[in-house]
Amino acid sequence: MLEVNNLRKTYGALVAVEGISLQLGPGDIFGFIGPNGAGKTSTIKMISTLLRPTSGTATIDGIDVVRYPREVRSLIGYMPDAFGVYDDIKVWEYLDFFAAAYRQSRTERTETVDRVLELTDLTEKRDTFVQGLSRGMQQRLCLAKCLVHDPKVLLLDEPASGLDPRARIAIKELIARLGGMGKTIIVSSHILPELSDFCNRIGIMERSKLLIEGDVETIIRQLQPTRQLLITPLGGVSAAGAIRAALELREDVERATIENGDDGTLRVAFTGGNTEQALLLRALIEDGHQISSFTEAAMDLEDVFMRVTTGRVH
Amino acid sequence: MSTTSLPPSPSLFRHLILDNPMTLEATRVWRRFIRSGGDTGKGVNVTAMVFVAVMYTWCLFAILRFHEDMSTLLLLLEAALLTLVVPGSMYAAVSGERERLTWDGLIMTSLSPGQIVVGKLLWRVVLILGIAALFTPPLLLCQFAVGVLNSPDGASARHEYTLSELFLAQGIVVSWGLLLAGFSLWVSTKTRRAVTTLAIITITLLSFLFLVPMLVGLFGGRSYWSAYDPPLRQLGALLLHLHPYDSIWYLSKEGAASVGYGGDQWVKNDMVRLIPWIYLGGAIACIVGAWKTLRGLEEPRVRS
Repeated sequence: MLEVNNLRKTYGALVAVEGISLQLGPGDIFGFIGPNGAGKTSTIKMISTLLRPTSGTATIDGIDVVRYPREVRSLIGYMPDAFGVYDDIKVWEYLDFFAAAYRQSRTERTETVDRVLELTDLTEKRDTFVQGLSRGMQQRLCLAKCLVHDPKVLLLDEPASGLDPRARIAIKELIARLGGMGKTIIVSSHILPELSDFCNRIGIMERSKLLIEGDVETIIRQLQPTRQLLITPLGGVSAAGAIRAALELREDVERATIENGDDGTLRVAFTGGNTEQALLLRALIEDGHQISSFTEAAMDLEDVFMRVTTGRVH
Repeated sequence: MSTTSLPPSPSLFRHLILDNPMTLEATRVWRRFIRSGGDTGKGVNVTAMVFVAVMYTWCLFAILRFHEDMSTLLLLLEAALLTLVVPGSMYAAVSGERERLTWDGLIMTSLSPGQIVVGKLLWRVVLILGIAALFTPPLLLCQFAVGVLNSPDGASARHEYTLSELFLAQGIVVSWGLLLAGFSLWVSTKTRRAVTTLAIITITLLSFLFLVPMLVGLFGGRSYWSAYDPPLRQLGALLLHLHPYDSIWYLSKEGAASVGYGGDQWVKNDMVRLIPWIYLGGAIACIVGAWKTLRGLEEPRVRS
């Protein structure tokens, strides 16, 4: 659906985007993560036909974004990070205008407006003037505008920036729903928890380079080949010492360290899978160890981001 | 390569006028005018409307009560109104979209540059024609009902304009309005900020309407255009001939009588009839320029 090959953008000596490659299929929700100035917006603008790449190619449904921008635009919905809305028109008029701008007939437009209003939960605001909407609702209206022509690909640049938590959750749910409808979505953000819930693939960008890209699970496994188990025994550090001695005899335990001296929590680098993990817990209990907590310390996007990036900027 | 073709294009008229969603802009602007976009806008609107209403009523009163031929003043007032209203309504047409960050959303749609240009122009053209329609009845009243000079010598009483001259003068005013619309749109497509557009239009108009005539007058130029004059003086004379207020004034009997050197050469030679066409030509050139610029703006940009 979306294929990017070695996409590069320079402004004189400044390299804004350095050779990005990417392939996404229908239903993929790709989280584009990176600090401000990493090159996310430039990449999205190039894919959305607004910015000419210095080199490299990007195609949507097989159509080159530079050679056939008009055709590509009919396939994509682009929501910029900073956008404006027309004032002095009502919500339904705004959407009707854009539906007409995509050459829909009057009958089609009526259906379209109803559909996108319902999808974005703006039906109640149908007759409200656009300038009377809250920031969050304007974000949703902008997204609704991107959906009037039922695009196959959505390019959303910081769609939840500046929103309150409730509006943020609403946008996240909406994006997840759109992904479920089979749309290919690229969503950029520098706020990691925003993306972790609904992206099945991520790319981390820093200083114009795509440092890592793939599905979340694979990336986490790449960065952290062993599971990290957190085991808290009853009895504090002395009990933890006994458990550590038992664990070090096992082949599926790489190392066990006491992480918290107060309650004796152990961090265990474990190479086994789910079954082995269950067997380990049973073995410890059968050996007479009293365990108050046994959990896997799952690596989240934040950990991945911190592990991959250096924190340096251009 | 698999290409997704856009829906087939309808006829040009349907495409540019009937099916053009950009005509919604007229609704927006009308609503904004009613709402007046805040107190400052409201003050300016009300002041302008009151001024025009007072002048218009005064002209009507002078025509009906004193049998005064007010054609010249009416035409000059109409031209002045268009000079203020048309650029004022047009300057932010495209640069305002870019400034308000609505431009990218617009070009992502299937709208053609032609639709955008026509959509931006259409209601302004209606506005120009509306203003012309507003001034036509008192002008005709001068011509047919009572319009004779309030002269103590009844024998010398005459109209300021013949009927054909009146139509010509009205043509000059309307085409001047269209030129202003086209020029403002063209400048608007070339600039990124509305305030820059407004500054360029204002400076150009001030130069053309005031500065150039002042300089030409200062260096002894007038509407006598001789092939023996130096080129700069010829250029000055040409610019004066193209001045809308100059044309309207010298087309009138009073104006023609006031010119030295044996009368205004363009009026005498009927060259003045070219002025509406020159304005229209300029308007078309500006509109085509705006359309070409928009075509360029639709292409992927080199800079963000």
